[in-house]
Amino acid sequence: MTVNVKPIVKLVDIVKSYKTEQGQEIHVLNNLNAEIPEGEFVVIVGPSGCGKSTLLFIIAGLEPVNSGTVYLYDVKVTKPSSKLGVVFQETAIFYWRTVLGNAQYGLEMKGIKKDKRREIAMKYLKMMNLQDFINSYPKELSGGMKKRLAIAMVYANDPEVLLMDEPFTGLDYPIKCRLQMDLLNIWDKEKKTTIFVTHDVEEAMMLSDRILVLDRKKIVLVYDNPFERPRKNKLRDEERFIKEVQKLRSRFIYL
Amino acid sequence: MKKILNSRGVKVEILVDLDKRRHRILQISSVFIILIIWEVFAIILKLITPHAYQIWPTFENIFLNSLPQLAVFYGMGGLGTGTYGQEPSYWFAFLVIGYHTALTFARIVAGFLLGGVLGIGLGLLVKANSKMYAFIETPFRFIRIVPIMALIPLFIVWFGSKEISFILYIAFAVTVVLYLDTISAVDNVRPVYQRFALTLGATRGQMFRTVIAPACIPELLGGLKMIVGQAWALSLAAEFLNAQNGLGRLIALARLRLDTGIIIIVLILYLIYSLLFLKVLTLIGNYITRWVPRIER
Repeated sequence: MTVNVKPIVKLVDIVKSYKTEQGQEIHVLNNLNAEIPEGEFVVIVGPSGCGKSTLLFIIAGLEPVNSGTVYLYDVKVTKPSSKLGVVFQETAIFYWRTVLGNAQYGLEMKGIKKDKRREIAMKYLKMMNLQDFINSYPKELSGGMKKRLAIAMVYANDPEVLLMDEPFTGLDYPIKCRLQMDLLNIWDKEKKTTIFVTHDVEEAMMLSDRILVLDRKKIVLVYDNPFERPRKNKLRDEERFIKEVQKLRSRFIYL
Repeated sequence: MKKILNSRGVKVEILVDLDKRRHRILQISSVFIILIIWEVFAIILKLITPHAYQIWPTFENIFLNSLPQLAVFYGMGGLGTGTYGQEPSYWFAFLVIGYHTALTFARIVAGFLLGGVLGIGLGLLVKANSKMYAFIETPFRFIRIVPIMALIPLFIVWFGSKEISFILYIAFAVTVVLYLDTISAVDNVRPVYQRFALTLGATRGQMFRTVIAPACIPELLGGLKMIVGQAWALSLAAEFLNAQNGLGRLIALARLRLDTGIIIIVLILYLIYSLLFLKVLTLIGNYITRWVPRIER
């Protein structure tokens, strides 16, 4: 599908280990390699605690590596920047700013003028269906709305790559499905390169162009998603979809 | 399960009663009982000796005799200078109270503001710049142990009895406490906020200004509220020892005249003022922290 497109993110021989408080060295990633082409929605799946989030933080420049390099457009990534936007698992929106203030945050940091900022922020807030709450404080939003705000904030900042760390984990199923659809809607409009981490195989199947399975410290499987876009919620109930999810799940063992 | 009336007047069943504002009658009655015990004790002592009022005045002594006596202090400490020897009267007593209250209040507010700015500013600076932190850390360890009241003589020597002396003294006390509070508050800011800000393109400086500082505000307000009582107590001590005017000075003058009633009046005023101060601070604080998610009662 995306064979001839230039890779935008390259992971070369990533090695990462942690020292625990007891002094033990825990190896998380061992010579991990991957290439993600421009405009692709890649999902990284794996059992909990296998290092998916760590990998995402490494790509974002938030975590150092023991050895190996992350390249963004052939430039080494060493620190976080607005080029690599992150939506965190823990909703990190700023409670002391209004919804509109939050959406404008990245643009404000860049120094973009007030009118332009507002225009861009409103555009993405509309896409996430938050236009009626622009002057509310986050404390008045529901859990799902807060997630949508976080996504709008990062999208408004126009990063080159969008990194999402299990953003919908812990939400109840209907809201999760709704947010997945919202995400696909907004992704559809700009086809931003996205790296999405989750342990939910169904979520991976619904969102991805390709799935990278992370297990035993490496990418052990690269899976091309056969389902055509645009994908609707009812796809979840179709037999071929359920079968494919089961097949993929059985390819690796959950802890 | 207990049955109570909630804030909307609806009878509800609850497991644990966490509302501290209930049982108003009990709250007031304990105060009443204390006042009654006071009066009874004073009357008993009066029966033993007529001079007992100098140690333990009755309410009659306090409000009918001592209160107008405050008028005697008219002409002292800058109020109505040159018109000494006023006859006891409520009106002049009121003027005296008003004047000295205003002075004490002004000193405390100025000291609080100055101390707040310095304490929070220093705390943020030190958290942003680890070299500064290492530099200031050791002297501060000693400063925070020294009881602040013991420093009153030092401030007298350095700044004399002028206004600035009291303002700086209060500011010093507030600074030390808020400095420590700010450091703790910054440490308590969730790391994910910092990460999010950085991935949205903020520089470290911007992140400090727009994320860490606002995130600390609720905790810092709590710290400010906690030192209101201490600030008023310190001001009382400093003015008592050192000032020409102000409420603490009134206590010193009353002591010279052996008028215990005035001392009690001023103490009651201190109680009222510090509670008022706290109330105003709380109202301002509630507006500033209007964005904080609170538990719905």
